[in-house]
Amino acid sequence: MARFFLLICWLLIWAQLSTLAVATAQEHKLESTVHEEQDQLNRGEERYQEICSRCHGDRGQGVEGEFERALDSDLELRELADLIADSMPPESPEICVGEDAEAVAAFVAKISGAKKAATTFEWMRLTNDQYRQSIVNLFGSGNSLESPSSETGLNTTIFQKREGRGQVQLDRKRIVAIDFDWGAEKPVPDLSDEDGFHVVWEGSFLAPETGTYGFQVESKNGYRLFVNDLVEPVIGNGISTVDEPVKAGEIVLAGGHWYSLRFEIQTVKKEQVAARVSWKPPHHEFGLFLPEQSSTELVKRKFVPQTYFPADDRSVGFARGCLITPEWDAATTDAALEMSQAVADSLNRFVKPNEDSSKHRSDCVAFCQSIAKRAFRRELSPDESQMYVEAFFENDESIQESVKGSLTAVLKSPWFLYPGIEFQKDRFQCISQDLAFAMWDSLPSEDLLDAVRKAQSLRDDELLPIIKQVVEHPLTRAKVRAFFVYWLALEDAQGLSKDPEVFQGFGPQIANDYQDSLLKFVEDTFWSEASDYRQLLLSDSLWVSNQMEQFWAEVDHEDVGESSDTESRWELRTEQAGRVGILTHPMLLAQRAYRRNTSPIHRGVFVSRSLLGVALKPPPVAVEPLGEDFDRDMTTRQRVEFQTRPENCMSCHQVINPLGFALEGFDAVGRSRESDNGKPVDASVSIDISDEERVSINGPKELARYVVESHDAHRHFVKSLFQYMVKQPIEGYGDNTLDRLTTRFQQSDFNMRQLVEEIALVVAMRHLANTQN
Amino acid sequence: MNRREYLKFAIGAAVACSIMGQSRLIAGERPKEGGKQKKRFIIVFSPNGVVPENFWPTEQGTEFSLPRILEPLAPWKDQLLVLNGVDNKCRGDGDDHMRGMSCLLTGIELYPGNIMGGGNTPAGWPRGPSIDQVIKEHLQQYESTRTRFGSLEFGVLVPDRADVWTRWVYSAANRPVTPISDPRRMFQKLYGNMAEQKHISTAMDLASSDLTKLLGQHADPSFQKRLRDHLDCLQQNQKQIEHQKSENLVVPPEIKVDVELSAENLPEISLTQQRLLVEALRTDQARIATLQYDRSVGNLTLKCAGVEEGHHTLSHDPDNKTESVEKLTKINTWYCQQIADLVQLLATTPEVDGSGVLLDNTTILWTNELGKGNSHSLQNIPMVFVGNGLGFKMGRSLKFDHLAHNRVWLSVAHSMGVELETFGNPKFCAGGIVPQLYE
Repeated sequence: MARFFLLICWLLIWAQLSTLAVATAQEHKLESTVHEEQDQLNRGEERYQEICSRCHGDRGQGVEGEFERALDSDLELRELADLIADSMPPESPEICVGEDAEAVAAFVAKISGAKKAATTFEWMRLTNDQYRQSIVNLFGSGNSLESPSSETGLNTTIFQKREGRGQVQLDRKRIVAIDFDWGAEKPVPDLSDEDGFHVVWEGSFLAPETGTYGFQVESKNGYRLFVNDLVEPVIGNGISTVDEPVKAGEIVLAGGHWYSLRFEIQTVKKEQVAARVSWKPPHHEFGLFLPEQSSTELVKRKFVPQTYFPADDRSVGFARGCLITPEWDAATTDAALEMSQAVADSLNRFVKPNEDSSKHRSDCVAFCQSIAKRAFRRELSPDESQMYVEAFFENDESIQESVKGSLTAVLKSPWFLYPGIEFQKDRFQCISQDLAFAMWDSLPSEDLLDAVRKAQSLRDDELLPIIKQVVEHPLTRAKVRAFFVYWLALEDAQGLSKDPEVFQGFGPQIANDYQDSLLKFVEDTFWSEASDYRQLLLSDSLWVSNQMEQFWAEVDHEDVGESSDTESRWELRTEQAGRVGILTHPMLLAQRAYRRNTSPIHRGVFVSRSLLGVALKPPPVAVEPLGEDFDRDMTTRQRVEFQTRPENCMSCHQVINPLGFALEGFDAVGRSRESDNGKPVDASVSIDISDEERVSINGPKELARYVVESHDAHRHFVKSLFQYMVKQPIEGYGDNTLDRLTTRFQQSDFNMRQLVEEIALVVAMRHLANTQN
Repeated sequence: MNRREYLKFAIGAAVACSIMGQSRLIAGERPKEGGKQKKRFIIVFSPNGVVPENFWPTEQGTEFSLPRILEPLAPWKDQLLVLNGVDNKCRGDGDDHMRGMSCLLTGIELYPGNIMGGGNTPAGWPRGPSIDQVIKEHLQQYESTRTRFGSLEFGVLVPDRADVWTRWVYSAANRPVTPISDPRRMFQKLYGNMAEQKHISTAMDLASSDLTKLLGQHADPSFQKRLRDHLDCLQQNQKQIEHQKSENLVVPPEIKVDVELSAENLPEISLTQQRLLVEALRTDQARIATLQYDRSVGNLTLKCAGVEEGHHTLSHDPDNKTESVEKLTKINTWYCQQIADLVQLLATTPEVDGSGVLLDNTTILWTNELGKGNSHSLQNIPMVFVGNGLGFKMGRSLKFDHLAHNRVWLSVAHSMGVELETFGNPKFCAGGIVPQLYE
């Protein structure tokens, strides 16, 4: 009820923004919120003293012989309330549930300093990824993203003689990766021995995510490697350096865009020629440059800020733009200068050169105005246009300097930096900006705004086709992938290594392939026709690379090398023995394991927290896991059972352990196994569903089935996806939004893509109240 | 503005800047520290060899007359030291232009590599650092000689590609230092943050005023908090920038750097770079500098010298083609005029503490990658010192018998306070510093 009232207030505010009623409604809202909060706290304190203080002390300070540690929860308010309802007081949790539990949670949060999770819509600045993505689109082609020709790989062109001396093209062919050793052999028979030759490899690739990409070249020849910018090389300068056979460089790229890559080598007569180009996409290790999507066609340069930004706040799980610090402000200054300089340097690309200097000047003014309009997502008033654009052209600075000054001001402006600002915008502009930031992490395109404008009355059935198109956009794909990276905690995947004594052959290449296999699987499932969430958990198919195959088959243990020069290095295997979706994916299992042994606790925590959405307390004391030396006869499961026997451990571990034990049929590198430490693996467990009900689970298939059928898991998935996309608490969009979306999700046969569309609709709906008034 | 007016303006601006500078404390403003004189060294490069008969004075010693090419330096004759008979003895991989350029300041051979020149074997980068960088590293070690940049590398129409013909400064083996050929870029390097201050200040002022406007629009607590935080951050950063400005007292000079980089603008680019260089030395941002015109094998057309053909093409013509010899002489004379202009600028720019002019504490060396263009000779490479002289005895023309140029670098280093036993290839260093320079 309280939340419903809040929502009404919220809608009222939006409906009457331009009137004096705003202030009244605002005050009214703030006042009533304060009252409700106080009432809840009073009730919480009452119930706390009655039920909880016996063990926790009257101010949460702890009680000797009972619960000695002071209350210090870092759970979100709602999670804390759930925990209290489910488990407090331990002897009879049923006496403090529902509103009582919420009230106690609010009081506990107050006295223990627990973070009160944001449950209302909060004003945010652009996140760092949103900033980068917005800049790329602001200075990009505008409406549609490039998608170069479907011919994959890189074009290799071999020229006789060297650059600038009358080259003769001898051969042109398509290759997949740059990894060769020609020795002193001639790559093509027609090549004469008279002079050296010049080889150029070029094409483009899709950057799957926003982040820093490392590049590395191994070659003793003279070479240059260009990425995105074909003028300034990322590595090399064309001159051979005998003492530096490996060189590296890095570049920040925005996900969902195509970037050109060009590698060129110049050789001299009888020179040994060999090169290998590797890359390191975000959270990967260095591996041969073999992008998932490539094209032989070059694309236009993208303007991606390389300025370092301090990390975004992630205290509630997903990255939010709530940290406004001097360092962030300084970074926005540096980035604004960096980008305005880059654009001013390439001004001809944006404004056609004109002999007539006054015409050129007015073209540049128009260009800056159009950038300001797109950056602010609205028309500029004449005053603003004067301040942000014209003023810079009214002195005797060069055109470049004027453009630079204007763009710096535009990119420093709060109108650009805060995605949610709605003043001076009509509802179409508001809807398109909210949709674009939620789905693309970027500014709205003009096409999107036009489409929304055409949906005059903004009904569901008018908006849905637009939303479907928005969801099909490559930037939504990049964002969905980023969600999976976050949900599966792949950001921490870098540095995954195993004890070479036990897992000979597990190296960076296998770690990369594991990760790519998992991402291919979740992305394929998401973008498939059915887009069925359940398939994430139940599918019996697995992408296997040649290297994974070799490693598992224990072939050539000496050296499981990197991928060969074939395009068919991936194969989709179905009916994999005992495999079910992500739960048994080797990446997930290997990441949640130690260097030699499995870690049922890490696996169990993932299943309970990330899949089932169970709130878990951190361990009461820091515990060093027992190593295999503890008792050489014990299996991993036995050691964990032994170590977590104490009662204060079991309050959480009775949930965690069984979920992890069910996956014991897979070792620390995710290979299927029959035995652990010479004893048969025991993957059968029973899980408490309620006080009366226990369910027996044997192995991952039954565990997956259990998760798939869990209402909590559905709800948690919906919430995670919503909050990741929108970067706002779902409660901020209405109290029943989570329940409603969960029901819709279940009714749609768990169609994830449809869920994203529903999320987009909720985002747009926030503005429909405006329309109806 | 014609060239002469421009020069007057340049000098005027330099003086104006120095007056502005006087009222403020500039780091390292005293030219004499701890009894030691502040020493600056500038090396200037022009390509394709010289016309020997119009370049080398015929006499030796203090009594000598200036041949045509050196005539522009007549006003500074008593501060001149012409070294004839110095050879670049580096052999090995690479053709003469390549070694002429990249072994010039390094005194050491090139690595084998993949760059094929007009003859001999292909080569890579040199095997060691250049003398200017060695001196710079030394100066940067000590509080009394440390400057913001240590050294500055200027270029004039140096092509934008990195190879052994376009690079002569090396921070280490295989580590070419790119000269900055665009005055705008050099200005940005020297005053970038300050020149951009105007943009930053305007952008910050606009952001502050818009944030203030927005604050009045919405009472939402999180909205208020974010925007107020943002305003605080802006103000804090604005203060910091103001503070930096007052700490770092190098004021961006009024030098117009917006010059299109084309051969037609060669004189203007040259002058602008020289002005930036002199101003940077005046404010003690560096004590070592290089100024590179074009590149080895450079084929610029110097219409400003009244020549319509490319420089390198002309330099291949035989000695009996008098027309070409005349044109090459004009080109070389034009380059010499640039040296004279630079000397003039240094001679008319006061030190910030008023203790004299920059030239009192500065030495320029004008050199070339070849002795003579059509023979591609690395013998008798031009070496003309002008200025205070690093303790060398100036006002002379000296002739040596195939002196290894490594020994000249040893002497320069010695005079700059860097005691080196050898530099570059040790086998060219026998005998150490050249005593005749000081006598």
